[in-house]
Amino acid sequence: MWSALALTTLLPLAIAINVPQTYINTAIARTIELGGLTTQITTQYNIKPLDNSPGEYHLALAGENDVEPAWWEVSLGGKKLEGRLLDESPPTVAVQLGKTKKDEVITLSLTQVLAHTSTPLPAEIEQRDPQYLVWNTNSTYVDSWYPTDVERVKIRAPHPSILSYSSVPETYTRDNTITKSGGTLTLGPFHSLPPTLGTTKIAEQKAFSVHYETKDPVIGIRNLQRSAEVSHWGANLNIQDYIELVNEGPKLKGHFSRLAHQQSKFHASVPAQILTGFTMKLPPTAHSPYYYDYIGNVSTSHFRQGSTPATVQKNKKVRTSPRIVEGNLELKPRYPILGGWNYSFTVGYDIPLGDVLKTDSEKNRKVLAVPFLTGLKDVVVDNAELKVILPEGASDVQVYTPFAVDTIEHSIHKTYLDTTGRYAITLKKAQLTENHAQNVYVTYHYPLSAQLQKPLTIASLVGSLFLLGMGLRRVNYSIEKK
Amino acid sequence: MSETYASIKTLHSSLPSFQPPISTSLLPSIALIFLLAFFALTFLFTTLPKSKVPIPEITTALLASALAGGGVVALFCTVGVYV
Repeated sequence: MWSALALTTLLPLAIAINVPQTYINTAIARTIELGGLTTQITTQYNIKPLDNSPGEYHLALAGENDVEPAWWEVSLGGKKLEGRLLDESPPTVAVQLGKTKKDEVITLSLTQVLAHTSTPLPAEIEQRDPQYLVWNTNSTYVDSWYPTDVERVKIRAPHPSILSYSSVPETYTRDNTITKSGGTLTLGPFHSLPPTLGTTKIAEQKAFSVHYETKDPVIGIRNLQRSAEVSHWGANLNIQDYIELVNEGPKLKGHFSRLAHQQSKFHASVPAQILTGFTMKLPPTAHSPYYYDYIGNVSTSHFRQGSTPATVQKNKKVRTSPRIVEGNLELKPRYPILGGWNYSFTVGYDIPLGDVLKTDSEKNRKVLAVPFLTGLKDVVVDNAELKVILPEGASDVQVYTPFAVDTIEHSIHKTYLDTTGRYAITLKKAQLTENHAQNVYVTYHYPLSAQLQKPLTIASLVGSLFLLGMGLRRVNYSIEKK
Repeated sequence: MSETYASIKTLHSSLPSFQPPISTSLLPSIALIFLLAFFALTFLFTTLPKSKVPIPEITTALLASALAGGGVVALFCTVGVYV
């Protein structure tokens, strides 16, 4: 529940906040996994409190003038911790460490996903050239408000070919500064590092960059609009995504040779920057998918329905796995997407309503779970919108989001056989990754009168036609007086 | 918000599933039967004699309207437009 916990602090807006130096980091180990649009950073902090009531631990998420990561999570001993995000310039989380003893080391783990930190270099390549990205960061050392005894940063590129990397200042190193082994760069170990943030300065942060090769296309989604429509009579939830896909890799220089592309497909050596298709994982009971763009239906897709233990029981002839298997939808865009090219399409599917909607007879309400988006590996969604359309007559609607969203709007949506219109909730958020593919819960009150609203509307319409017929029968149409 | 996200999440996993008022496998049959009956009753309605107090006409009209209402909703659900 980040939305409730993102409180503003009472401290005045200063460039650096005053963090009491009640902790020191005995060791910090950071691993950075480089990818296309996303970078995954896992940091482990060994923290030692210096007195018996040290207060909250201020965990820096990034350096000065840096933005908050697209997704982050703090955990202590394997369990997720709720931190309080402070409204300050270097994004910082204040974490309650629980019962601490003086000089007893605690291990805190921070997982972050950064978006758009790698840029293609060279920015334009020919169709068959390899693709290289440059990962940039403003902080070589791990940003921290407290001094550190030992620190080590490991950077893992997806492939062993790293073209170049910048240097590390030798101020805090003893023997090695950077060691390269295959696709892994190890920076440090750094010893006796003062805090990198704060008023009492402090270790100077130098920018660091890695120029590496990536063998997968760099895909981003500019705009994602998802609508989830609930139907009680049909016991169905329809999920429809409108996606604007873009290849954020190096742009194509020269022309696209269809011949060269067909030849490369035949020899199974499609260049790294070309997106030919991707797979979406759907809920196990999803069925009847459709895939079209503004030209029409796109037939280059393949769907394999998933199974749950409940559905497996029905088909005793076929031996399938008793565990939950997700549905598999392979989509191939109408044309291969090279660097800088866009492709917009609509994909949708149906889910039996019993799998997502639950009845709460105690409070006389229904509870609905709608996934915010379908996560794709290493893909960043710049703008996402989820519109949950409840059946006609739903009232007393409450929305519960797994993370803070930018806006929540309530509106009326009109579609087939509607009179008063359906209650629609629109949630908008920017910069999402596959970690944001969590459920949004909506509760609403749906009385029997709302359930019968549609049949009664149609019945009254037809009944009025009958009454009209009865009236017209009794009208005298003859010209002469009868 | 009276409850937290975490409490709704655990509540959701523990509650019983939604059961539709009429099973979805019956909907195509209901659509066919209701609409055929509606057609038959409409025909019957047109053959009724005119009377002072139109009781047979009103009852036929009410029954036919109810059948039409249920039949059209079932028809829409059968063809995939889940209303």
